[in-house]
Amino acid sequence: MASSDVEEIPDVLIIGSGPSGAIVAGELSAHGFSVVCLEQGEWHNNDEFPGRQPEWELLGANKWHRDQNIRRTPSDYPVEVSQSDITPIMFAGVGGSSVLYGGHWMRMLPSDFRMHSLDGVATDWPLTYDELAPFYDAVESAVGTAGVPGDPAYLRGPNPPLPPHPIGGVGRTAARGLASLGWHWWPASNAIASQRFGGLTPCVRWGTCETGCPEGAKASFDLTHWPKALNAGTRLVTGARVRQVTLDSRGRADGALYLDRLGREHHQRGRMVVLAANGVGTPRLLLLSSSPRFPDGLANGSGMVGKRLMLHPTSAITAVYEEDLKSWMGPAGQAIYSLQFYETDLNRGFAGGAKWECVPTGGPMRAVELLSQDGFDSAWGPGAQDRVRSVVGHSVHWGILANDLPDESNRITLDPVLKDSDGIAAPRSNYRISENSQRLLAFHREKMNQAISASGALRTFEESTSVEAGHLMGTATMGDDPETSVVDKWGVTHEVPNLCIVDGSVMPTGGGVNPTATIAALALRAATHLVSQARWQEVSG
Amino acid sequence: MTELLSQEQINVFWAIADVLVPPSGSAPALREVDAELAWFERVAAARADLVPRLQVVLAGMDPDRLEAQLRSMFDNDRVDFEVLAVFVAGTYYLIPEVRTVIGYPGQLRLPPSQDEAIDQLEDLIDQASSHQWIFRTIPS
Repeated sequence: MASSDVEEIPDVLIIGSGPSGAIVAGELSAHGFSVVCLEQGEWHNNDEFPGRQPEWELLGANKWHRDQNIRRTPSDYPVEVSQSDITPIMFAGVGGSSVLYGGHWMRMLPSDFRMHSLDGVATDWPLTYDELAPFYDAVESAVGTAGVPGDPAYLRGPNPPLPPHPIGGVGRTAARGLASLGWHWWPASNAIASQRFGGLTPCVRWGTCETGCPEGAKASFDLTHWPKALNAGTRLVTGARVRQVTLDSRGRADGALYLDRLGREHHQRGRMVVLAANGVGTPRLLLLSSSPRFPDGLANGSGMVGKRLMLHPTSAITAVYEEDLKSWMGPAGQAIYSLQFYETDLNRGFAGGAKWECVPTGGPMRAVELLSQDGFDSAWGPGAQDRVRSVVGHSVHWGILANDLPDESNRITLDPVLKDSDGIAAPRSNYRISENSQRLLAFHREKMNQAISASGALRTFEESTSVEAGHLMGTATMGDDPETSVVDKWGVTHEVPNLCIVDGSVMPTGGGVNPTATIAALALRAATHLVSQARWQEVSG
Repeated sequence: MTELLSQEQINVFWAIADVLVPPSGSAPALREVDAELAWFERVAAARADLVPRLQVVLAGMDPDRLEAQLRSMFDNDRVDFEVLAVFVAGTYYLIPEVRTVIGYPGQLRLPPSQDEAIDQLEDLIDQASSHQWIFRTIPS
């Protein structure tokens, strides 16, 4: 039985402390709302991250692996992936998956919001790029993105508050190849501080961004947003795993049941509930919160909860060069990107496009992994050290991040067998890479190989599709029609007027760029709306 | 020395390393540069999850036909081969002398100079800025 240890009911209960939860907590607290946030993970600090240690690559393959199914900490919940071409990955902790992200900071393009109108696929968003642009601006100012203004891909584009990072040998080599073909490229925008900014220290190029920044330079939201939210009065409860959103007698959300580190159950109440648990965790929680009033899952009258999972399939080509590019050096982070083939051209036989990103390639373990693609005698045996030497520091990782069209058969459900460490049903991912995505990736690999050839590469290693993806989108989609969507254009669920969703679940399409900027902008937009509409907002109690 | 492996297992481990990363020229043998197994211990701490399997795999190796066995494992038993690969390559390429040979200094703290970013873009940015518009304008 749940203990009722909270007497004062906060105005807002937020579930999840990643980018979107952090933004909403900070915004609402700053405007005088009382806010409690439940986070299943813990705080982490820079000294925990392995980037300074010689065995960094080994620790990144286990304790600090991006995949929770490999990392297997008690805070992480497992995801059942036997029927999934790609494993959805995430990190449970204050700051959420931004603790381990690469900080690639990209805005979607205006056409991404209108794919149905323009291309006859997917659905249009109930808002436009222009409506979201001021919120992109605001979150970029708060995050401290570093880059160069003026990317000709955007009419009304980013104006990063911090100057760019050096693009290094990696960026210069790739840029020369793209430039020689007359193709678009731009110095990358990264959520990594190039100068001291708020609580962030300047990047010193450890190059280990995706195992946590040991320097405190990467703009993870535990550093950029949580200190302000806490100062403004938000109460953050860590080690709190929510198992159900609760309702009052009128069907309004009135709190959440959660288990603490010792497995004791608590009922945290809230006059309004905001889900910020990511594109897997949010549908999981809605499905776990079924009740006689909502037998198919909370706010799931449309049947869309969990459906339209988008993960951004990727391909990668690692190109090897004669010159020493010092490609073990950070930030990693992207050096440059290209949007040359981003827009849909249906004559290519598929809809959507992709961002290309050029990033460093890490150390010798990655080189061995790549060489192993060519067989035993490439990675091992006489001369192995020379072959590793030819790759380490001499290579560029060219990545293709594909626009992933929504498909209702790609979905999150509750697994009947797998449980988390608290015995709660784990999410199950059913995800197949679509024919559209396969064609898209094949086209882009062909074009990318042209650019790589033009950049003077000696040889390449090609990886046709990724096995994991941290871009979790689409599973509680936004729309004007309650029959076909879960939330309205502000993130408020159609069926429960005081239940709001602010993470990547709400994205109707995912574009072909890293989604954190868009998730963050949407969360700020939703929070701004909640503040402005508070007088009329329905609440529990 | 390590308490994780018996002397017999250590001998097999070093013999495997002689096959996978054989010494040549300036590249030393693993048994030479990690005679005390200090670097092996670091790898074992980082990948403690794999140590029990390493012990099993080493016990199943035949010292008289290591290369053939390793080639067969690479083709047919990749999971166990990767266990050996993690410990052999993980240890070998962790050692400073070997890192010098392969030109890898490790991940370093390298603050950029104030002008480095601008200098690196100086001869490139004009071309990027003048790229023709290829993106779709959306009617509002």
